[in-house]
Amino acid sequence: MASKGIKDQVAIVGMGCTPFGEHWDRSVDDMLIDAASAAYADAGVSQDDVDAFWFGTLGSGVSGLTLSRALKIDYKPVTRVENMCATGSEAFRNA
Amino acid sequence: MRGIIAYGAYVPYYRLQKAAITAALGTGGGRGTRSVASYDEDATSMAVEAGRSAMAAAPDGLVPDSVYFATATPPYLDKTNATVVHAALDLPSHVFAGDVGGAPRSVNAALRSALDSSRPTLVLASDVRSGRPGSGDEANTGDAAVAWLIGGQEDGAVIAEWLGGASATGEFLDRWRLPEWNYSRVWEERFGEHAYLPMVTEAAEAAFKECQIEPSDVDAVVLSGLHARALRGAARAAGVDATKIVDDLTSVVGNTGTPHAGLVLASALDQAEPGTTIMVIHLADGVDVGFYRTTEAIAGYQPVKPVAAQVAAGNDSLDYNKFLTWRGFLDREPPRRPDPEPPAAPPSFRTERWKYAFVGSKDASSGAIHLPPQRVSVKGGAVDEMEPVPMADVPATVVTFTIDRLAYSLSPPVIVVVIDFDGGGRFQCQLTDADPDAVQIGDRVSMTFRRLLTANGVHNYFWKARPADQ
Repeated sequence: MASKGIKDQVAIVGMGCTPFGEHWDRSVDDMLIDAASAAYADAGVSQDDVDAFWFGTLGSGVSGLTLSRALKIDYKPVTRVENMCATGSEAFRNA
Repeated sequence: MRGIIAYGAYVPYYRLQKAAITAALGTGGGRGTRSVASYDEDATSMAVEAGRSAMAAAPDGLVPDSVYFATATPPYLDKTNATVVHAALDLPSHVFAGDVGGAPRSVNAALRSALDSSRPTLVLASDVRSGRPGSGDEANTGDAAVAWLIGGQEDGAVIAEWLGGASATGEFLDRWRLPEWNYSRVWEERFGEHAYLPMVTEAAEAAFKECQIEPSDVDAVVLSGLHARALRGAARAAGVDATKIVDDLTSVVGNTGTPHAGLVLASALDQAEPGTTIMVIHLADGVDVGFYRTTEAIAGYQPVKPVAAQVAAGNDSLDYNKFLTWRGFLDREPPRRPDPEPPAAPPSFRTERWKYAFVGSKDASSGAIHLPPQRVSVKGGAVDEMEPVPMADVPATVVTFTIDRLAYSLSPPVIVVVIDFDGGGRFQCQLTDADPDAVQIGDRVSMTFRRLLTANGVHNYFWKARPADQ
């Protein structure tokens, strides 16, 4: 029996995605900032408008600090999610 | 007119009392002290310190065309060490940097090239020297670095004009070391004396003649080299008055090898009046003789960290066991922590200006200073409104500290400090060259370039704080 989903209860209002490749000149922080900035712009919101964050990574940092330190997120909850190759969709589902 | 425009010397903080060697081994040692590079220093890190002093005393905006780094104790082979110095001095990429290496004479190869050039050149020399426990080298050598900014009047005021010189070269076995040894061997002393002294005479006579200088014109003699016995006879062989020999600091600092002639010359220049003729006689696989004459400009020159002050600030309470451990002669059990990771090449390359030159970022809209540099401002959240801000020479104050006896260190305990820089910026780092029992909130510190550790054969260079009055 399939679990009750979140279909039709959630809207994606913006997204940002960095190019995939071997980025010698871009750090984890750089890509987080680039993707988040693009998502905020796409959604027409600022970082202050966001109430909570879910941050998925397998091997590029631990805890919510990896995100909050780069983006200077103060006083908002940041959850680090890991579920192997499903990390991305797991973070998305939790959010 | 070509010569020295600026210079810097670096003598590390610690000293070993030679009596400590004798007390431990029943042999070796002697009287006086020798300088000891800390566990977190190497030839490259000390060269950076000397280079910083030289560049700080140089005319504003003067950038050398080339950087040459001479050392007989290079931290890397097959990789250039001078590029680390280049990065730490935050030099633009068009400045050439290369090593001149392997032996104490190498510094003269670099100086000859610099003095013959028509462009401003930074020459650095640095060694970390010792010998097997109980040996003469262990007791009588020392660790230090020097930096010379050589140029012409068009680059800045020349404070010591190069008048010329001569050299004598021959192939003979004085001292040698295979790359994998941590000590050097020397041939019988009397043989070296026999080989060197005629060359001293030959080079000195040629230099006097070439520069049209008389021995009586010479005000001060810098006599240097690693063959002590030959040095004792060198003044006579050169035909100069032995009373003019400048104190060679070997009883306090030891013989520092590649940088030593430079260190002694720097100590002479620190106090020299204009119009002083200085003869440098250097014995190393041959003899190099040269003359400098100080100019009027030296009266207005302020050396950063004069040699005498650094010599006086030394701490001679260093334990012999620590000295042996730091120099690798005592293979101690490391702390029970995971092995440290080597710094990976791509992030080190991406963050070169931060890691090597301690350049942070300043947010244009809020003025907030960020260490390490950031893209997002901690004040106001502006993104990508940052300017690079060099912080290596900014003094700071200790806000809080902790003594960590478990953290990985080559010489525990680790002192970690949080420091506030004058004018803004806060940073957490290690405090080095300090007594853990004496650290206080409010202590003034300055930044120093060090080698944090070596992991998987990769040297991890970065910055630490050190007490400001040292």
